[in-house]
Amino acid sequence: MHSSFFHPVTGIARFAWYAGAVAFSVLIIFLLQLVPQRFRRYVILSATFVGGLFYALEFLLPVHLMRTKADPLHMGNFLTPYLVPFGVFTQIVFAATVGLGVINMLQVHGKRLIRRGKDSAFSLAFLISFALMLLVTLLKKVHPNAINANYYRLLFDGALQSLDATMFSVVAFYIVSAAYRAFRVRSPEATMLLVTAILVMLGQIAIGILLTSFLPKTGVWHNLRFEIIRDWILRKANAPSIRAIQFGLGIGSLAVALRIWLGLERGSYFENQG
Amino acid sequence: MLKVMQNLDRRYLYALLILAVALPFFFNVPMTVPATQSTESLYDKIESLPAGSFVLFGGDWSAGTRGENRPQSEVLIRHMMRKKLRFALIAFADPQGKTLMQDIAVQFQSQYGYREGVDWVNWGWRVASGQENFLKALAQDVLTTAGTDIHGAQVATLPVMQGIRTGRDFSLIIDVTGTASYQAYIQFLQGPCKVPMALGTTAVMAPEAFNYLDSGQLSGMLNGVQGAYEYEQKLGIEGRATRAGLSLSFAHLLIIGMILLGNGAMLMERRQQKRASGDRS
Amino acid sequence: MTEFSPWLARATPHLILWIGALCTLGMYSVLYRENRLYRLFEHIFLGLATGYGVALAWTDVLLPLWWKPLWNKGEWWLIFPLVVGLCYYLVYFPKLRWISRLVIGFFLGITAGRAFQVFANDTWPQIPASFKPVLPHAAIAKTAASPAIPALSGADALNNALFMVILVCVMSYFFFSFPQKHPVLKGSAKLGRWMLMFTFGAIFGSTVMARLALLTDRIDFLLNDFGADVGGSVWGPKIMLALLIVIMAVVLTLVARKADIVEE
Repeated sequence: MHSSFFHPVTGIARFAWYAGAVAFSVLIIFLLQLVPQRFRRYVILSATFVGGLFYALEFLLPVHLMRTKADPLHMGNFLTPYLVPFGVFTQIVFAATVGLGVINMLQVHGKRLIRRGKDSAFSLAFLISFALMLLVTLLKKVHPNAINANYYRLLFDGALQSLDATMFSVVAFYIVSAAYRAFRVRSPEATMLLVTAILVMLGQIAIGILLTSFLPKTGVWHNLRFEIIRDWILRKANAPSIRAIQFGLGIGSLAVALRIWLGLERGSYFENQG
Repeated sequence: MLKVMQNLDRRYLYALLILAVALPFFFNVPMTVPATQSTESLYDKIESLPAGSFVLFGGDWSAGTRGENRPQSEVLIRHMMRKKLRFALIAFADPQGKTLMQDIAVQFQSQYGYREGVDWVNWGWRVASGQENFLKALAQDVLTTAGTDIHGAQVATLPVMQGIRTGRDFSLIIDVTGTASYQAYIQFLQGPCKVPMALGTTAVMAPEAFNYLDSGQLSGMLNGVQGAYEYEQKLGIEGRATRAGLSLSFAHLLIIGMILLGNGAMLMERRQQKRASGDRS
Repeated sequence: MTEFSPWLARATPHLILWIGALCTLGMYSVLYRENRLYRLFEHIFLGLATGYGVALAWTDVLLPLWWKPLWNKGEWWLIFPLVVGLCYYLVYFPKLRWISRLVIGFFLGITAGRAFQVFANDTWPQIPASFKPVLPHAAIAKTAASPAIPALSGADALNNALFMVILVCVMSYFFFSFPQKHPVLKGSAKLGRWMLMFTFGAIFGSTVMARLALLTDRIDFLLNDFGADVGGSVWGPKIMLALLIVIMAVVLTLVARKADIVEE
């Protein structure tokens, strides 16, 4: 920020600038509150449009040589210098919103705890572990001594990592159960799915690769090795299907983005006048 | 027999799976697996980089996918250290990634004579919802956008960042992830800055990523723990992926067996029903 | 108290393994059936993960990017992004709720504005990459006008042709905005549906690998990391395996008994 207005202020004077910035923000919110109910939707749509305008124009407008401190051969347009401060701006905004999820969880578990129902003990466990992890991580940052580092390690390496890893690994058991009970070949397509899955599985394990290791490493018969079949399935049969789906997704995403940007999207969220 | 197969409780299957995974750990059976083309491409890419090249290494994984992403991260970091490449770690998808990657780099740094701040740096974690904006800004000005490392030091003052100004100064981008975070790297760094990019992904995400491999947007890829296994063999090291190889093999064979057994039971049931309806008529 | 810190430093590596094993076995209790122990660990996990995320939002983002520049360097304009972020919380105040929607709308717009670059760098490069050579040829040397082109074998040419056929067929399967009456379109859509089975089979096979890798990591931890701490690197894994077998035997006995009772 090199403008004469946006310059850092140190010393006691900075409190006046902080107060001024807060007052200005409150004024903006006050002025927004004065907007009549029937015009609020249009204000929201305008904000959406202005938000989209920045990145859209920055990408679409022609670029020219702009020598910067970082890169003397830099190509950009008049919006490019604002990318970096805007990147920092959005990081701060999104980090500040982390409390939304926390408030929601505290509301849910706090209510359960107050009501002292049969699951209140679990809510207490949640709140205690939340507070402990928060405290220990912040303490480690503020007072990085050996004790705090060890407390942190106990909770992070001992508890959090083990719980997270185990939670996801439980799915492996359900896969075994599903493989036995649910994976039924009732149609030609299901047969093809099953055969492909088995070939991929055999090609990705050492024993499967060993089973066809007697086949030559070159020549036509080489292509019957399980790992070669698996590689072929993934790169030559699976990839074009995924690409076809990606084309649809890409064009669809662009269309939806345009609709949102231009305020054409319909639905309860977009039509609510607030 | 059919009745037993139909009424087999799922907990017997769970027990079989635990045995299939646990028992092979007690048998040291060396097995070589040939590297697939995607693994070879990634290996060759890192091998081709001259010493001192700078790599942006995204660690977008958590303990939930550490069975696959940790061996991948370990093997790639070891290769980069062996090749004397500079690298910066960053995490978006999960805050745990910052600490997990830091632990891996610290674990191996003394073995290869690496020093934090001089040969590698950890920029820490940034909010996932702002990843695209961050990467777009990073492409323009690395030092200002990265800001500080995890110890609070300004990255601009660190020797490791010397000569790195914009995204075009990266020699390679690697993202080890269990999510689709690599797509943001492709959209905002790899494409605009024309920097080669490689990926270490969980096997679940790999089929989708092969599309990018075919189009050239990815220069190489490690496909799950199997990719890490292949890479360890190329580097001549025995890491976690190699240790897990036999267990994975037996567990897979169990799954295949269960699928075939389940379908066998279905066929037996159908035959019985046909016989029963045939007898009645 | 002065002896606590050295004791903790010595004990931490062991405590980490014991806590990890306790958490792992506690979580795996759900395999027997849904129970309160599992739910307890589930809630502890949620609490730890949430607390960690909140802490890092401060230590890794707000502290270095907002607080330090604002307080130490006097960059007063950083008040504004915080105010914008706090506007999200106005959702809890009915009269001011619409301002949170204004801010959400602004950032939705930002995401939408980025879509052009996303499309240009993600989807667009895949289009020329989809046009592949289908006639085998020898290598072509580099010229002033074009780069060197490697040789294309018959097998690769066939693969390329198959790639494009699969791509077109799968794309035609997803044409839902008009009825697929023409026999060519109908046929290609049907073939596309079959080709999708390759993808689904590949995804299933890959998912199996992914989940088993996670389980293998946990069993490796229990046997070789925790086991080694319990009984040394030689006997520890065996002790843990024996313990796992005993636990499984007890569980399966209970399961068998319950099944007998139900049958009776």
